[in-house]
Amino acid sequence: MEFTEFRAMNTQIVLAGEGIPARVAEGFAFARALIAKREAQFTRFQDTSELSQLNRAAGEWFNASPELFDVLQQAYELHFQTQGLFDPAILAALENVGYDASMDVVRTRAASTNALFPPGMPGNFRALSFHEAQRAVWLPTGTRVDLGGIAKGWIAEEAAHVLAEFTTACAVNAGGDMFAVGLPENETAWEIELEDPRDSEQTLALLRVPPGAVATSSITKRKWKQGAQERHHLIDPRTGLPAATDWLSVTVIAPHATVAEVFAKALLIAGSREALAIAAERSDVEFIAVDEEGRLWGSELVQH
Amino acid sequence: MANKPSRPLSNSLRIFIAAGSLGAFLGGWALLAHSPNPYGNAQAAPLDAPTQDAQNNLVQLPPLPTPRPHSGSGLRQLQPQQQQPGFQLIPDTQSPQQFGSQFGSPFQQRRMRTGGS
Repeated sequence: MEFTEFRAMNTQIVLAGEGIPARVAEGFAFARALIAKREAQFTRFQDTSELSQLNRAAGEWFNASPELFDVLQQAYELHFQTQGLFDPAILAALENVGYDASMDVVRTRAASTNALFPPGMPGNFRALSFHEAQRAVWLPTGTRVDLGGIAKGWIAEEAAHVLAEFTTACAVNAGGDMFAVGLPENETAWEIELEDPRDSEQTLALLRVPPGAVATSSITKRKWKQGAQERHHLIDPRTGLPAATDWLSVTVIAPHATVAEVFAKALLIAGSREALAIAAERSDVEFIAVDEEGRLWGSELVQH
Repeated sequence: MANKPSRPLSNSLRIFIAAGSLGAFLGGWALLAHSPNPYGNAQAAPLDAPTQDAQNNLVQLPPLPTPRPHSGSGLRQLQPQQQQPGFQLIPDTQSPQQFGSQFGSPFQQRRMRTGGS
């Protein structure tokens, strides 16, 4: 198995591929170029990105690329499947709590420069409309979306399929959002280390998973100070504030990276009180939650 | 076949036809306006019914469910060595590996890692 890693989408990307080394290296180059291209398309931190253009066009129909159209359609379906806990229209709320630039910038700011605002409520994502024939999207006026996590998963899966053309087995890991195609030689599963959210240097356990997607959402990574308040990036759309959850991280195993990423986020927001009801929406989602004491939790419902 | 000879309508005939048409229209309207609904299902649409915008498919949806108390049932603590339907948890017997940028490391020495970002 060959590996390479680099920085993109404000996170660490790891590519793994098995096969003829020269072909694998060629696949890595293609996958890396694709990731850079998609990042430029889906980022909210560049005015020229397609996502920024969509947000500026709120209130009128916007002709989207096939990729953006697909991500938005999946986001729309997953919004309902997670009972609204996954809501890409929380961008205003995210900015209100200080996440208004890339995380590298937010982290280096002095805490006092982040003013405290009243909670920003999400836009009306449910009113999003699609025109299939013209591949057009309509965002309600005043609604802006952030595709952060779901786009990262979507890109990881697309890059893995591209890399698979050059390898016998491969995986793309975008900051914990991973998609694997095939199995390494003489292996019956992919072995993935489950990071301890209390100490990223430690591993809580190993996961043996089939080809497909694994994603983890955590409240201990993307966090910063806003005034005296400690903030994290996981906004509860019901309050417009960082979620008050009793879990530190949730890892989801699912057939697709978008599903794994979105459900990891929604289950973490839900916490132990509501996670079972959310997880029951899909029979192909399995989860492992980590609480403040490092205990692992799962669901009886996931045993089909 | 020989054509029938035609001749213009007289003024009195025109007035008669116009008056007859008007009478038929008014009579029909009076009958419809005062007859009972034959299907018996006519009713006003409730004002609070969901409305849909034909252009944008806007649908009023119910609010998010309110949080319910934590019962704990259904959730269970997972242990390493546990086999699940979609995955297996096994103990970590190796120290965490850091990824380098070079190629060629054996699979078992350089695992993928998940922990969010």
